[in-house]
Amino acid sequence: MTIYIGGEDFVTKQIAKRLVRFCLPETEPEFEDLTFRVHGTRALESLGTMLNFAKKYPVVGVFDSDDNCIIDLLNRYLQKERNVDYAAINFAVDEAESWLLADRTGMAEYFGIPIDMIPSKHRVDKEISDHIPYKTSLYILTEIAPLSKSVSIRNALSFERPGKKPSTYNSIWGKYIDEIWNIDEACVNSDSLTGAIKRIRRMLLEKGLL
Amino acid sequence: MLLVKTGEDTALKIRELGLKNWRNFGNADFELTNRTFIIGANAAGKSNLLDVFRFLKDVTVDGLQKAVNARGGIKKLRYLNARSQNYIEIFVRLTDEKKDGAVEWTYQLQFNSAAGKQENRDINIRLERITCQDKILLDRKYAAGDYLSNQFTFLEQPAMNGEYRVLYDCFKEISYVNIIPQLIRETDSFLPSAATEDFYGRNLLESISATSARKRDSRLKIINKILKMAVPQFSNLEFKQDENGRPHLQVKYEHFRPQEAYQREDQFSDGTLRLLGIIWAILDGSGVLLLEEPELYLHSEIVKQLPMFIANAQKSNIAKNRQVIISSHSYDLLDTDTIDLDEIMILEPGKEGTTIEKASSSDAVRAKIEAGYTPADAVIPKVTPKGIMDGQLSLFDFL
Repeated sequence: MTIYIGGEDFVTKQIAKRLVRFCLPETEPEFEDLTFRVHGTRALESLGTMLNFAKKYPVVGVFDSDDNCIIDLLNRYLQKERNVDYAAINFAVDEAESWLLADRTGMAEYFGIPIDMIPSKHRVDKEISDHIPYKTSLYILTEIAPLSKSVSIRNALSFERPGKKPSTYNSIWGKYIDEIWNIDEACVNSDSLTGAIKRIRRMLLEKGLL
Repeated sequence: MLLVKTGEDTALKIRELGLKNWRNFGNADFELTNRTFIIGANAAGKSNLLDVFRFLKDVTVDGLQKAVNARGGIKKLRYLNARSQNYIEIFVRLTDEKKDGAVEWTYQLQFNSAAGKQENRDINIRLERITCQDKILLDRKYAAGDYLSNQFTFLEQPAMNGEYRVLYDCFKEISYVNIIPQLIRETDSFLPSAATEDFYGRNLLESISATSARKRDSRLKIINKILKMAVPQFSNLEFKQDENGRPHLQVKYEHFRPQEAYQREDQFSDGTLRLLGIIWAILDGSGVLLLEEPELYLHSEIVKQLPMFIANAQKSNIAKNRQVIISSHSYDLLDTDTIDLDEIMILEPGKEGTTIEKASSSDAVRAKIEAGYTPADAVIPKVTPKGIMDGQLSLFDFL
């Protein structure tokens, strides 16, 4: 069985694949990337085509909301289509990295830092990122990575130029997303991730795959 | 009786290829169009598939034994998982479309190694069969006791192949091009290769030189036009011979000085030389042309226009009988809505060897096109190596 994924970068696509595996624990799905040639907002620009395809085939997309209203994003990138229930298009608030950070235990272990260094979600908050003053990925780079006990993580996430994401940024996330990231625990700290899981399960059910 | 007289103008095109136990392919069969794109991941078998056509040429030019030996013997040729039926089979269906109604030909060859213990055993023909319009022209099987005749195809022997000389001519005309710019640039490189087939463009200049002036000028005019767009500083591509009679290509190179400079091929860029060589090959002659990953060295915008150039050339008088088979895994090459899914063959490696699927027979690929994706969007992800697509780690992650 092939599940078609979409995302705006390596991290979002890797998360999309892991979420599918989480929702289909008994099967070994194959994946095809619908957004393999486009990155960032250009991936969102192809959302309409992705949804056309999703009418027949199972599609899971993961994108960053980047602090935008999700309804606004859908309005911006989808001219006519408003009902996207037949696809599992998910927006991480505010970034996919906040879903990763939401597994505080896993993140603390992987980075080799005390769990207290990872922001926590207040009872009334919806997302762990609600109390992060700027983009989660930048927060990880500036506040968490420098404290890591792992030399390779520190190296991979050290800035080469101020304000520019390190060129080795993606290299640490594959292993974390696939082997360490505890989605159940992360869901406790992220409503948008919980919603994504529900959306993916519903889509798989509708497509007769669950 | 000759079905087609020798010398009569024919335009045979290969329409179907069937394989058994050929390198990566345990059992494969696919159709070919005037322009066929063979798409697959690294090591999927693209070159091995093109090599079938080269093999057919080698059989007609050098004979079966030499064609097999040139590939390292039958052990190197035979599909690794070959089981009880361990002979190699090549089946080709061709049509001659220049006539009133197509004339259909088939050629089927089965061969195996002769019994014995020696390392380089001779190759025995198990079956050789030729038909034309359902008429069987040749149907020979392994002849027990006739050791020698089992080693030679009838097709390779002009004294035997009169009735099906058109097949012989068609296979002999197959050309393979994988231009290596450095070899064109090296002025002496053509000498050692002069007597052999020119896969890598060593003898491109010689070939241009050997073409009649009228044809050469008309082709260079086309190439000049294309080069002018690809390299705006270039103009007036000309054929020249130096004082020693060596052939050269020369262009005017415009720069900031009022008088242009002249450049010869040894000063051309890799991309310019490769583009030039590919275009020349498309325009040069008729028959089947095999292009191996033509996208190498070329700018993506040029690669995107290559399929349309081939189609235009095939519609023109210059290359109307050219059938072009292209191996690639380039996104840019397929990034156009002018390629039909019937023209794309997808190679998918699996435990039982590589399979070949016409892109149009995949429901998912068709659905992608209907959704608004280009053939490149629809097909290239299918040939992304599974390990990379599913991989927990990125390709160059060594942490």
